[in-house]
Amino acid sequence: MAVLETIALHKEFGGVNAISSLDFHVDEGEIVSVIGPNGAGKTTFFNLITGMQAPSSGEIHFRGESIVGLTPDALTKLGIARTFQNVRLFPNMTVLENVMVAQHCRTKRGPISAVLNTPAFRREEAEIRAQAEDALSFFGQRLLGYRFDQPAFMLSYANRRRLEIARAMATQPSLMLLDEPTAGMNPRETAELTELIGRLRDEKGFTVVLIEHEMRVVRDVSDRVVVLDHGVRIAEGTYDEVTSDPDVIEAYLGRPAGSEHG
Amino acid sequence: MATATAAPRRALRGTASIPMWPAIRTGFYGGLAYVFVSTIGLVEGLGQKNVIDPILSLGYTVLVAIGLFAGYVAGRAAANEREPANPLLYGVVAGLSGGVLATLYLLWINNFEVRDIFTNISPKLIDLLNLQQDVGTGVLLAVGGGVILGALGAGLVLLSPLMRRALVGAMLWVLVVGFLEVVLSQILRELDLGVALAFAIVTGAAWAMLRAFSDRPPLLVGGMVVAMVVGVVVSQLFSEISLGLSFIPDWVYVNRVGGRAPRWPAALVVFALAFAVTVLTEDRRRQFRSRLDNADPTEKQRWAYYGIALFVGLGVFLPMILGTLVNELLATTGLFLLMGLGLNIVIGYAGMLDLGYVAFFAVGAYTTAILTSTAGTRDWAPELSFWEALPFVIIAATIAGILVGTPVIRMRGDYLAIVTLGFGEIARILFLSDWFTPVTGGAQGVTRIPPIELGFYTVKGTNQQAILYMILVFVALAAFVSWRLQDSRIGRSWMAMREDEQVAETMGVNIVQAKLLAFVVGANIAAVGGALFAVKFGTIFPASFSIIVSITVLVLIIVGGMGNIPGVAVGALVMIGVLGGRNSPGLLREFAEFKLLIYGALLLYMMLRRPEGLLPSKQRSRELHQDEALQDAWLRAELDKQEATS
Amino acid sequence: MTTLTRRRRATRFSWVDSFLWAVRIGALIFIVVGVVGALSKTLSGEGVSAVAWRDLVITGLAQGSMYGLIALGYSMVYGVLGFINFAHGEVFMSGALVAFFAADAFAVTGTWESAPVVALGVTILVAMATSTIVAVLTERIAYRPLRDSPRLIPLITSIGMSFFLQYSFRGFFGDDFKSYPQPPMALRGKASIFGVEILKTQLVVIIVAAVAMVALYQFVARTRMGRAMRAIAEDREIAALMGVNVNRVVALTFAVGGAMAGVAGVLWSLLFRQVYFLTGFLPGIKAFTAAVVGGIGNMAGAYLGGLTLGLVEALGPLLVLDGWGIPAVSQLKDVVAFSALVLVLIFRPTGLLGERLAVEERG
Repeated sequence: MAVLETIALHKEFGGVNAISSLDFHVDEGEIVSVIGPNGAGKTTFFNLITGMQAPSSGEIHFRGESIVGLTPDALTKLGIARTFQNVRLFPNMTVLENVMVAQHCRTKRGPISAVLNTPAFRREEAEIRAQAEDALSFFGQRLLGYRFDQPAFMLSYANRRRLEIARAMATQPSLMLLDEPTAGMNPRETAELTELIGRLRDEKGFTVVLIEHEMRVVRDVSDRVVVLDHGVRIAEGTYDEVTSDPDVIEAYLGRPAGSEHG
Repeated sequence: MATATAAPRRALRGTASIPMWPAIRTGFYGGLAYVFVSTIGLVEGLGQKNVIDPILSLGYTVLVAIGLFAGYVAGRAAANEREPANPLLYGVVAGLSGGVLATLYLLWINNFEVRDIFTNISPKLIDLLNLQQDVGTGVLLAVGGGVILGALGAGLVLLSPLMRRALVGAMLWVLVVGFLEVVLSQILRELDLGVALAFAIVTGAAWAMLRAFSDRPPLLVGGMVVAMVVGVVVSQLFSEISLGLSFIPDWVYVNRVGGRAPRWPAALVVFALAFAVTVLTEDRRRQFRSRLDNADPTEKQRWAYYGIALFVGLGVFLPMILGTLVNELLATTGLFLLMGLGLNIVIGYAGMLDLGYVAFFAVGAYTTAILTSTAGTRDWAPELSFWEALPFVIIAATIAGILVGTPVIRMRGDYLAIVTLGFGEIARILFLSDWFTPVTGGAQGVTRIPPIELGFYTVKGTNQQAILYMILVFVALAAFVSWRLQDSRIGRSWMAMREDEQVAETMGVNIVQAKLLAFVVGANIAAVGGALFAVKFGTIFPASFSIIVSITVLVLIIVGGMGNIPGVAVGALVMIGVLGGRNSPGLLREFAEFKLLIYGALLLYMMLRRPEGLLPSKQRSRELHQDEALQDAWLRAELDKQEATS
Repeated sequence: MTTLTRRRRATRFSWVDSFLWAVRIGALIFIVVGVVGALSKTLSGEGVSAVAWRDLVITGLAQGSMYGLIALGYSMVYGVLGFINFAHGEVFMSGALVAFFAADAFAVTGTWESAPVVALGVTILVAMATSTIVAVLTERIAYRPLRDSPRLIPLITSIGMSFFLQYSFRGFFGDDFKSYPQPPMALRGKASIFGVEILKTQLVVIIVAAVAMVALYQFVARTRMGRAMRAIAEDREIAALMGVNVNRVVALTFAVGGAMAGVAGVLWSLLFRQVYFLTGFLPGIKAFTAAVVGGIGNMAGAYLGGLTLGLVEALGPLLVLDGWGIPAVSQLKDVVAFSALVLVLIFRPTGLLGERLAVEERG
């Protein structure tokens, strides 16, 4: 069964169609890349799925249930996590705090137990911390140790992207939406992250939807590739299938400027 | 200056063409400040109070400070010129430039009758500014004084940083000794062996408890209570044995018309002592700082325990000896601190600028008053006791928090500010209106609010010592709640929400819940403050709950350091304790008339120069500020270089 | 960006939404019942007479014209810089207070009566000049250094500025009420327009405000600086790249807003005659409310919002509250105004004519 499915999804902004009757699905354990030229509506697509924007019409199903109209936090609780194209961490919170916040919807101790410092509260805090450290350790040594207590804004650009993924992991999702995770990274870091995305599925069991401009990443990790242009799905299939599709080539080559870079 | 096109523009702005422009400009601003503080009546208003008897009045101190500061800024500017210049020269030029402005001003006020418009330019002010001489001499003295002060201020630039700090610090200490006359005299006079022992016992015990039971609040509180009881008993046992320190205030201070002031030899001693201590302990201070900076979390926690223990000790012992006047002052400070702690949760933690916070305070006060008042003049008066009313205060505050919070949840930050302000005003007007008069008593308010019965003791509102203890207990409680919440799941969700609401929501934080919770917790703290306020005064009027209270609380948490509990405490002490609250004079009674002006100026200064407050929270702390500032400075320097070379 | 604010954030069964709907419906019912009650009283001849209603409408329009003028300053600054200039009420007060000395001088010398147009004109010019200077100075000193900080920082700064200005003016001119001279003979009493009797002062207020509005509108629509202002309101950075001197235009925005507040200051003094250093506070907040009601950042909206708020405030207590039998409703004028603000923000957060903002959402 599809983890996520959209049916005739439609979104318009003041008469402009950002997403037009889009049918899309991801199956359990799949890694699907969404590619397309700038302005193709990819990020809007993520915003619709995560409830940050409401669709004009159409349906979104998560594990068979309609999720249109749910708030972002409710969706996170259901198991959808995302990262942002323009890295949106909580810059003045520490690395560890960034990841700890993300477990908000998985935990439940309220203000009274926090004030009284009940055993249950202490257990939960320890658990949150352990989970956070676990998520951070996914990136090897990069985010460990002394970096725990650094404010997030002090991290390098690549580490911020990693931290964002760690934060998404900490919400304990089953579906993870990554918005251009390798943007702005150098080739070595990109290769490393490509491998990590694979591990996200293989080790952590996440289903992954990925927006990506870097074609090598797309080629290396995707089970399936969906190409959007002007909010319309113009192709779908394996990497090799879509890259040889004439529509896709036209979409990209028809507007050569800036199509490869964010 | 390299290109022909850039030159005229710079010349127009005068950065390059007029020699020593920065000094002239600084002096001009200094002169403006002189004119301003004189015209608004500050110099005359503070002229009565002596800082150093008989040499220096507070009014002159302000003028001297302006001169010194302008000189210092000018001197620093000299060092920053493309070709570094002599700071002293710059200081002198600044003094001259300010002196010219002062001269014009003096000639104006001496020769024209302007009092019809500028009410504060009185003959007395003119005498003061002329230094009791005729105009000519006054002008000469003003220019001469400007030059000397400018040079002295600029001279600070030449000193080593340590010397500079020691000098400025020593001057400030002299001021502090003057300002804190009432407190210091009282403490030194009243200090007996019993009180000192009690202080030691409570502080020590508090520290030990914190270390042993920090994660078991019930034990912690129990232990503290025991320690306090022991402390009080000890203080009674040894209360007859005086420490004999009263000779110090007798020697230091002298009685004058404008209030007691330090004599000049005493001021000299204080200055020398402070200077010597700063210089001699420099190495230790530095070690201590670096240890504090590099401390790991456990060590930091230990330092925090020292601090808390000290506060607890002071809280128990100071009210014993401070006397009615200062205790009342501290009680007011405590009420504002309580509100500050509550508002800190709403603004500092959750990032919502609530400008109608006083409404919750009013709800608490009115609920208490209406339920407990024994006046019997209103339609409905159940005449409950304080403790019976308290649950209703909590319920009322919670409802008020939800009612105010819900409509504003989805508003932008600044709309939220204005709407909450509107709610605050609505509450006040309704309490005042004829419509509500049968219950709230209208403009006459509610009278005869009974004292708090503790079973073994009755806390009367007029007993400043008892009410202060009562308030301190609730302050401690509020601080404890804030502190526990800050590092919890709730506190983290607030922090995240403040940083980026949208992302916080996407990461699973329920914005509605988080915001309402912040409002409700904040409302409850304020409402309890209101309940104590009602008991303290025994009577409440709608006029006590004006917008000024909200603004005052806002200013105090901004001055102290938003998001940081000790910061809020410092803010409350500085603002309310020293400057004074809405209707209560602070230690500097002379400032009463200029209080709100100073609030405004402080708020401006803090926002422009030190937005993180005096004691910043860790989130806005050093790392953040310095590193960013360093990077920015580097970047700016690079850009300047590029601009200079192109 | 607007799409993000307008997005539907509710879960399907959010009780907050239910609560807000309850507020909306409750408010509607409250208003309708109140209005019906009040009007039925009028019809049965017990309540407010028809003539009194008409007078209230005119009072509301006069009051609203002034709110509209002050609201322009809030609205334009919000449109360009994206923050509430809390100190704008004090800009208004400064004009009214300083112009008092001009008016007083005219009254002493007799010019006030012998050449009322000149005297009034000069008084207005003095107020405009003062308010403009104060507005531009506050921008230069307090707001320019903060232009790129998070939007609550300049708001808090402007609160500080507001207090600083209030108490500086108190320091300068004292804390007593300054009583403006009686309006010149020519402006006392009532005039009859289309058979409707109107107080001449109210008429002057409405006309002068309308003229000032039209002049400002022409200025922004026709001149180069006006175009630059609109460009910056669209996008500050792009305008800067296009060679617009942002600092100068922002200063101009403050100047224009200040000048309008100055005009409002003299009009206010004509109607109410008494000014002192706290005069600016309430009108300031009300005018901001008016700006929000009309749609912030929108000049026509500010004027319309001002008129609307003036009417609501003048009619609301008697029309809605009195119908419910609430005693002494005139005390509740401000409650009505602030409730209007809350209701507008719940019903239609973008105001009557829609908002126009340059600044992107920053939470």
